[in-house]
Amino acid sequence: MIQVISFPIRNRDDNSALPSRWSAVHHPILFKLCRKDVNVVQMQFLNGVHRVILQSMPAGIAIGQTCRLVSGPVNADVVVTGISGNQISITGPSLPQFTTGGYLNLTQARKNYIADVRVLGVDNSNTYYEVGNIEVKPSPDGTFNINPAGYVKVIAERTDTFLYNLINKRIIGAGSRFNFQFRESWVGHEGTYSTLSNTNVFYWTNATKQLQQKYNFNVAEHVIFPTLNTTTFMSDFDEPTYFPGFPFSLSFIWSDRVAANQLQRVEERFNQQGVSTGTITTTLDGSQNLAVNRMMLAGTYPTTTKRLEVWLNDNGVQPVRYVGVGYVLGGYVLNQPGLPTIKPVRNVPSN
Amino acid sequence: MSRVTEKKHIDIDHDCVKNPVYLNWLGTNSGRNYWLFKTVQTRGITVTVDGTYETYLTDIENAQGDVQDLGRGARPRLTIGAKVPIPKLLGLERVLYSINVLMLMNPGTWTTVGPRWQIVRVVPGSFKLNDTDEKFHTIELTIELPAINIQSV
Repeated sequence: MIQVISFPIRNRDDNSALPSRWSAVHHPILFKLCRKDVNVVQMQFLNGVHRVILQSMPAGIAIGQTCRLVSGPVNADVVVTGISGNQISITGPSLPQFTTGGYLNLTQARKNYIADVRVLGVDNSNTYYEVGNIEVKPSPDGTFNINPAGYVKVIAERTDTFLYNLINKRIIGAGSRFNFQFRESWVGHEGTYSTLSNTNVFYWTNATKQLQQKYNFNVAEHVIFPTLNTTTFMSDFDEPTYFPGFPFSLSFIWSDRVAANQLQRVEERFNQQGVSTGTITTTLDGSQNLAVNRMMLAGTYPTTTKRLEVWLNDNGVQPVRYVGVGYVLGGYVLNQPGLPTIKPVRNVPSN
Repeated sequence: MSRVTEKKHIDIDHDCVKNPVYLNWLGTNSGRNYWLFKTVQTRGITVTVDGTYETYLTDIENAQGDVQDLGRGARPRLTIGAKVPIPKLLGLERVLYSINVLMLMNPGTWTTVGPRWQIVRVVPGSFKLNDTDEKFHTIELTIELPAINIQSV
């Protein structure tokens, strides 16, 4: 099997409760994976023989074969000298007497082992499609790195496709999700691709990072977290200028951390004297989540409004309506057998 | 209900606009940015010739000419500028190296038919930006517009 052992996650403010899965696609987005043919429970030294207790006995293993053992401090080729139940006995260089955990790779039995990674991006309807395939021969200890950035970058769009007619719109070509599936093959065996993960989804943005900028290739500074109010919009200006009558937008990342939340645009207006003349809150379109968004301003302001302060509010996770409006016809009555029915009683005049 | 982003200060420029040139460029953080250049710009054009040919004249009494062009190229350019406070300059100067700069072609009708953009390219070179103790600075840049299609042989 193949296991992902390292992800391109950086923690915002070095807080492990605030992981950012968003990376700049013009830099490497590195995952480290590892081939693990069978898990090792422990290695023991008994009656002069090193024994490895495996989680299960894999098919194809035979006496005299060379395998790679990675367990504790051991990371070396060993030769199988005996097989019994879930155990094998081995000989190898400088083996310690006891280790726990790790894995064993059948490097001789499984010839020409290839790990095949299928990279998927999303299209404008946020549906996955394949953008490329990476074939890797792992290093002797089974580990290998992949960098899907080069494949996913084809989805990045330079030009402006926003029509400036919605309060906010998801722009897939500015930043969206990607995923990958992997399978392993060797002589005589072609594996099937792993299922697409729902939890280990990652995201790319059409961005670059600069020298000595925080978070390396990750754009954590722009990722919205429900508990932080320091996340920045993606603007070249510290204080942009809005020219009424001309199209304008602010860009932000509707991140996985607030995917199910209702976000709101809040605009506070200020007059020439810097005095606030009111705040207007508008709900954003939640169906545009999990991507870089372009957001418009309210747009028309009296000439006395000289400045705005704009920010996003998180209005929490909204309950999902089980039955939408119009799901059942009005007047529909479910027949419940067994319940006493109440018949309308004719008005009987009393004597 | 809590604030989850910074408070972004946005200035509103209500000035009447003469000769608007509105640029929209892609920032290195994947956001888009905007500036309105107004009042005056300098128009220019770069013209090239794709070679000439001479016809052999046998009837010079009635001939119209001896040399003609195989083709010509023409690319309009526009020199625009703005005098801005330094904090605005720090954002505006990024249009100089943006990989995608667009110019709005329909300022009058974009709200009904949608914005129409044309890709323009900032002529590269060494730009002198502000001195670090200045408060305002005039930035000037030349943008190349799409070429004019001309008949050729």
